[in-house]
Amino acid sequence: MDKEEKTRTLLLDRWTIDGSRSTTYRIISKNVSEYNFIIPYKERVEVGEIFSVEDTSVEDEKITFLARVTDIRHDSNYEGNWDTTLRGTEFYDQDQIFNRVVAEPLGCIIEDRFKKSRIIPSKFSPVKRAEAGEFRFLSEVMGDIEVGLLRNGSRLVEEIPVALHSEAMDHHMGVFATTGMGKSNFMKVFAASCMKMAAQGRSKFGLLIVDPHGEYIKGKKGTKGLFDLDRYRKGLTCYSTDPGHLKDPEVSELTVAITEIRPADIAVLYDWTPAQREALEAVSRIFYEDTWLDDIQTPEGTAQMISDGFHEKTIGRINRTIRTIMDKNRYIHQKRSSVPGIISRLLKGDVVLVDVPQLSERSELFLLSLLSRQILDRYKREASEGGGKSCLITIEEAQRVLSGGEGSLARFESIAREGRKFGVGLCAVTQQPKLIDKQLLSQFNTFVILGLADRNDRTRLEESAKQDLSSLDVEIQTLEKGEAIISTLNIPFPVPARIHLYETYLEELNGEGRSNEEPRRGAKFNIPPD
Amino acid sequence: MARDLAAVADLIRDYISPEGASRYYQNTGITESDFSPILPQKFEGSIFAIDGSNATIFDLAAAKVNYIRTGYVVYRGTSWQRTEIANEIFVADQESYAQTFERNLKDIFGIEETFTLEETELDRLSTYFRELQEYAALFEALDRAQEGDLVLYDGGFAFWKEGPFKAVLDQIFERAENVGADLLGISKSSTFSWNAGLSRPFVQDTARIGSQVIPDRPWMIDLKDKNISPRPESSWKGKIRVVKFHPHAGRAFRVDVPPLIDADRALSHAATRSSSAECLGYPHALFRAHREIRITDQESWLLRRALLDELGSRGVSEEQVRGFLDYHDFMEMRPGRML
Ligand SMILES: Nc1ncnc2c1ncn2[C@@H]1O[C@H](COP(=O)(O)OP(=O)(O)OP(=O)(O)O)[C@@H](O)[C@H]1O
Ligand SMILES: [Mg+2]
Repeated sequence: MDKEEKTRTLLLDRWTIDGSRSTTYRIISKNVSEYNFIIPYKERVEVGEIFSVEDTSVEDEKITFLARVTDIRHDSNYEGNWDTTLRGTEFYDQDQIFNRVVAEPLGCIIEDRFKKSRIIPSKFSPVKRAEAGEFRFLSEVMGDIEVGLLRNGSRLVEEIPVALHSEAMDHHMGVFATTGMGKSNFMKVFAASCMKMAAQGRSKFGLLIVDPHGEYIKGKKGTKGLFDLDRYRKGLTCYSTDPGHLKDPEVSELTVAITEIRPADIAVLYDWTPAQREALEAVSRIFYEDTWLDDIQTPEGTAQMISDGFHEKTIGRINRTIRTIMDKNRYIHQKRSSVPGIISRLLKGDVVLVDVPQLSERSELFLLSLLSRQILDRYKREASEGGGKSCLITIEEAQRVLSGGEGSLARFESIAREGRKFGVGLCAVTQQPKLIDKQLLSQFNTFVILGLADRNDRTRLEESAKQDLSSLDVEIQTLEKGEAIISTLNIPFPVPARIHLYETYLEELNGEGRSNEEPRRGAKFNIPPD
Repeated sequence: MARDLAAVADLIRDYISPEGASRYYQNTGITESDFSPILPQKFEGSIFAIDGSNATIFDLAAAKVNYIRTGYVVYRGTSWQRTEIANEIFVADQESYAQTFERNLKDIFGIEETFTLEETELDRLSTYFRELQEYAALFEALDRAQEGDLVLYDGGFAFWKEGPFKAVLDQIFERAENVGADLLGISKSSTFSWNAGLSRPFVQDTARIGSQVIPDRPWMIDLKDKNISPRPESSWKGKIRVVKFHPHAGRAFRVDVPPLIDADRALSHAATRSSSAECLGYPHALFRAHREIRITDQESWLLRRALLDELGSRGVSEEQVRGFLDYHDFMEMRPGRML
């Protein structure tokens, strides 16, 4: 063939396309904050599932990107309304239609280190479901209070426990769930992990739980309680008003000394008139704070109040109410008090359970308020002396006291705002985060979000969270019992978790140390070969 | 202007508005009984569908640089197996094209004939070259086919009376016969017309009238001895039919059946595989072949860029290339087309 001719025609290339040159499972678009890839249309993918994207386009610089599915759409290689004008009886080319998966980048792993990503995986980088190995970096950023396992969609990643950081606890924690989605279960699991730490002398904070339902100590309705954690019972101190529970020698009777009660504590117990309120506020000016309760009820005391400009009727009314309160709240004692014991346990880093079943709501709040005040005072002192362990105060139905409006308790609001300075954190448990004041909520640095059906609840959390939760809205709405999204300090993105079922976790903890080797959950879970 | 447009619209309407069936029967010599239903036959074999596409990359007035892609897809039942594709660059130079064609004819088909085109055909050089490559793909597909398989070619067979392409087709038909594969040429467009005072589109009118005769089945009609123009070549030894592959489809197609092919069996098999939702009433394999083999604007633009880069690395600037371009191209300056 002469040279001249050759240049007139040139075979560029020949190729065969078949199923193996699949275009699916590859990144096809689109920007730094959203990845799109396609999967066969018959493939099932869930919102919330985490995929890994392996980018080896730059030699010796392998980067693995992690991205969480936020949406899944139908897509195809055909344009126009081909699918709404179908007339044919068969559909031939199933490889031409697919699902487009929209995913939100979580970050990337470069040389085993996880970072937020400022780059985009190169086009056509292969995509696959993230595996345990790719989550290993997460183990390193996890804290010390285990609450569950990492979840990828609805599948568990058994090798990666999810654990909160003790250090984040005085930055306040919120536990949010529609009723029945697992708040109490979470609290028990959380408390159990705290007990374990305390029993092993590793605890960094004390946990106070005031339990108005009597459900934590021994469980209720077939569930187990904190007392069932025999192995780490040492980490728990129990006070109770329930005669049944008091039969147990390890449970102490709850008492509050009359001298510990301040007018502000009394204020929550009753719907005082404005005049009565004013009188109560004046009390601390007029009497000694340790003895005012007795003093005001003496004729001298009454006279003193009247001379200060208050009406005799008002004082009489206050005194009668105080007597009723004393009558109803049998744990109020002339001298004895559990409060110093409670606080010293907390300072030691123990879990303190105050079991007050059948207590009225007002009495519960009174108790909580009183304890919190004393705790805060004590921790303020400790803090000025260099500080001990911090402490976390649990508030059930927290919307009652943190709503910012009427009925809200200034004491808890001030702990939310400045407790952190003294190492005092709040653990707010609620089924209605939408009722919690926005500013207060934004002081919370750890969110444990279980299933939340109400859009307004989710919106409130999204507005206040430190991490961006907006893309997780669908997932939060569809969380199953015990499934959670945990957004906290020190963990780089909101982590999908499955909270342990307390009864199972209990068994596991109780079994620990029986044999020499600690049973490792990961050990029984074999990664299937590729 | 508006008046003129109205007149033109009237004219177009005359061409496309439904013509009475009786006039059609009368003038074409077709009778109702000429339409016959296609009967279903069991078919387990493979389907090969051949197509091609070309795009001009540079128009240098004296020579055109063309990007040519040909190939075929393979189906088994309704499931796609694979697609074979060849990409070529063809420089259509009016002085030296013959050599290129002759070499291809010899290398692929073993045909040693001189290749010359009429003066008037020279601007279709690249179309002819693409056709030659399509024949090559068809020849290869037949080589891969097995007895009873269906091989579909996008286009007609009946045009070539003589010359090298006639020789090529003879080779192709011979191979089809040796293999025992069913070969059909299915045209997406047809210039057949019938006389109704003006020349009416034949295939479209036939599609409409045929479906009145046979509304619920695929059907076909043979054009032998019918009064249409241009008259099907008498030198063509095969059959020419108009076929409606699916009763619910709007269109029918001209189908050329080479000699010695069992037309009924082949058409029945083709109709069986023309029921896809994606392209109802057209053999689905041809639909996919078209989609996979077509050269998109973007692809030809990319190739053009790549070529410019190559030229640049040889010291030829875009400016210089621009100076040689056909002035049409130069003035267009469409994005993606311009330099
Ligand atoms: N992590 C979990 N794994 C499995 N099941 C769970 C989990 N958490 C909760 N459940 C199931 O859901 C039930 C209700 O849970 P739980 O009592 O903790 O909900 P809750 O949010 O506290 O409800 P309420 O608003 O009524 O107090 C449990 O008894 C248990 O069966
Ligand atoms: Mg509960």
